[in-house]
Amino acid sequence: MISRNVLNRATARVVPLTPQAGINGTVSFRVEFSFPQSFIDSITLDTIRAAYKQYDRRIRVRYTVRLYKEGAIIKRTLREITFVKKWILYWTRAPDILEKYKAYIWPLGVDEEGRAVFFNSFDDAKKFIFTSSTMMTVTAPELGVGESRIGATVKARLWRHTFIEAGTLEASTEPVSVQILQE
Amino acid sequence: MTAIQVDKESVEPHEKQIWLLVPRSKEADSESPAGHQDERPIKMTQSICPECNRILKAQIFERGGKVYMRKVCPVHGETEELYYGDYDMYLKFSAYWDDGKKQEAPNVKMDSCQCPSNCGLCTNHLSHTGLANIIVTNRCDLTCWYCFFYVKKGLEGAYVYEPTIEQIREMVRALRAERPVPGNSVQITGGEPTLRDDLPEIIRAIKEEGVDHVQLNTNGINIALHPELAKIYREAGVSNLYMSFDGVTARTNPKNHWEAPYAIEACRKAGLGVVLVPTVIKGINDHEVYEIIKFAKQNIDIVRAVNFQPVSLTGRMTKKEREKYRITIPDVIKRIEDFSQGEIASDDWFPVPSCSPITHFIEAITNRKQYELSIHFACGAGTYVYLDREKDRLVPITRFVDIKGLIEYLDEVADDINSGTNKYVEMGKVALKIGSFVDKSKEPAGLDLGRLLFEVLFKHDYSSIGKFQMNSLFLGMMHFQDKYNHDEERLQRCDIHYLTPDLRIIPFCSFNVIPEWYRDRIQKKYGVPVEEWERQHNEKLEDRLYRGQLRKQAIKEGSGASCLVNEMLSGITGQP
Ligand code: SF4
Ligand code: SF4
Repeated sequence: MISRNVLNRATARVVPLTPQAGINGTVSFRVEFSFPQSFIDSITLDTIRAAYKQYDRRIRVRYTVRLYKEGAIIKRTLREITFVKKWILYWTRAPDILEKYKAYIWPLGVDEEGRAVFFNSFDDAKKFIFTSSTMMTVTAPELGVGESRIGATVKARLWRHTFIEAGTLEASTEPVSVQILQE
Repeated sequence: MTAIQVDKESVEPHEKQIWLLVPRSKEADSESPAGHQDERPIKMTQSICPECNRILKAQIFERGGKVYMRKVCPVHGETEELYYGDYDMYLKFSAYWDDGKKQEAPNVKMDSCQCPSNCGLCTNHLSHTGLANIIVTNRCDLTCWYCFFYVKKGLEGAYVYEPTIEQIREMVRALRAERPVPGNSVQITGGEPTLRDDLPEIIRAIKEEGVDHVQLNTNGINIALHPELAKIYREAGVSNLYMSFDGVTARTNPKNHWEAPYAIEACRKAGLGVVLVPTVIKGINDHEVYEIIKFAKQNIDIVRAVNFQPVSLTGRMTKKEREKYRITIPDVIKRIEDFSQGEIASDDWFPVPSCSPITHFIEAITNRKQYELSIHFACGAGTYVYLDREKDRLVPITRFVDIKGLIEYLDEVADDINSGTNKYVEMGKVALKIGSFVDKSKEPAGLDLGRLLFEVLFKHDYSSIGKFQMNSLFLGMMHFQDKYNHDEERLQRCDIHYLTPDLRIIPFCSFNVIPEWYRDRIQKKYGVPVEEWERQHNEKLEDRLYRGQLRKQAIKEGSGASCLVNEMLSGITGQP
């Protein structure tokens, strides 16, 4: 069982894709989040094989991403999105995986839209489920003319598995500045 | 737990032969199929060479919105085959992938099992038996040119295979010994099972061994000729008839066009449910898929389901021939959408393993392993349609139930319970929430599905299901494999199995796709040569052939069709 302490150090950042816009425009942000690298490193092919053998075969992570505008007193929510990413552990007959990894239990990803994602490398599979990158767009009038400080919080809920206890990771970003210009 | 002793003789020589045919060390040497520029690779799997059964690497890839399989045999060259007719559906359906509970009581223990050579079930098989087929005879009263299932007199090595009732009992015991979920559903099949005069005794024997669901696979002709049989079979314990029905015209359904309506009428009188089973072949009957559903709708009081089977291409065929006839599950779904003008659309369908979250939820609240439909997503799909009698329309359940949302929700509740939350609290929440997945404003008049779900899940009260069944149809698909599209990831998850007298339990798509290893070998070993059978029974094999009495009678009546056929097909095609 992986210690829950490793879950305390999740990281998040918000990247403004349009640092400046006119009052009739829109501003977009990318909110990135990652489970702690030590946690990601501790998930190995042995971990998933052991989980599979105990019928622990669906690993779901529910992400809640909140984008807010910092005010003098409160943080006003601009957008909040919730989505689920999944791993389904399955017995693969793919010769390339069997040969390269000498492993027959492999994850299949399910994205936010409910579509399957097939992986060629285990690192890609881990990146898929244990990191998130969310695009969020707000209209300029929601922010108002002048400088706005925009931040985000990300929560990632994980349920109990053979290798980890249930819990929620939370990370906040450093706020970033965007300028809305009077046109 | 009952230990089932598999007849070792059946397994061992068989394995030796595989060693000769498929040297394992060579498997890794089979060439990886090269990709092409306009293709997007999806994944790799293993398949077999359609010529020599050698195990090969196979590439699954997308081209032009469809999914294909390519494999290269070092001796017989490249085979490319349409695998799944819609890439988007492939991605959507594969998201429901769910490996089953495996067999904790495998009948064949092999240290280095290599699919598909050690079926029986072996240690690596992933699904318990969902439906167990028992062939009670390989004799048939028809001689369809495309069928490989019946004994053909005059062919060298033709054997009549008819296990005794005692053998059948032993087979069923092997099924019941499966763990963690004992098999509980049997399909009696053939040949034509109704040719066995002791069929009622067979049915009773299967029931006595503890099987709840017994389905009879038949062409319906004997029942049409002798309607009293429907009642006899039902009283013996048959739950429903699984009847071939390939189209609504004599041209598309030469097998039982004239007889099926009589068989259905007999079942109606006997209260025996019917599942219609069309084999869909591109260019032959794929234009009638919606007409078949309309026929089922007209008989919704007794027809419970239509189970479409896109054709499995057996025997040697050129690529051109295969392209002419090949049709896959998404193609049939699309035909239904087009011909029904969106009444039943592509989005209304879900792959079979999408039921798994419901199983996981029930397992979480009962703490017991449950029956699960864990086949590969590419093997089967289904939907329910409900007859809105006011509007005379079939309404897919997805139009008023958020199935995807419900599945996700139950998945999450199962996770919550498994993470330690109080299951009674969670059940209370589910009970309160379940109705919210049903859009009452779109629900057909007279249906209260939220209540029905609540009663079934929490009160285990199934009484309202009967009424639901009388107004609903299950539409299903199963695409049996062939040597061209054979995928070992599908096979390893197969839950449609055959029970054999050597007490093995063999996946359908091993048994029939590689008959030289399984079906033919077993029928030869446990059958008797045709001549000997004829001597023993003082009867010729051809004596029981159906000679088209009902068709002749219909034509003699002068209308081109008898009244019943006319009545049942009127309004469907305009011409029976
Ligand atoms: S199909 Fe199943 S039973 Fe047959 S060899 Fe493969 S895993 Fe074993
Ligand atoms: S019978 Fe064939 S198509 Fe059906 S579940 Fe088994 S492998 Fe899949």
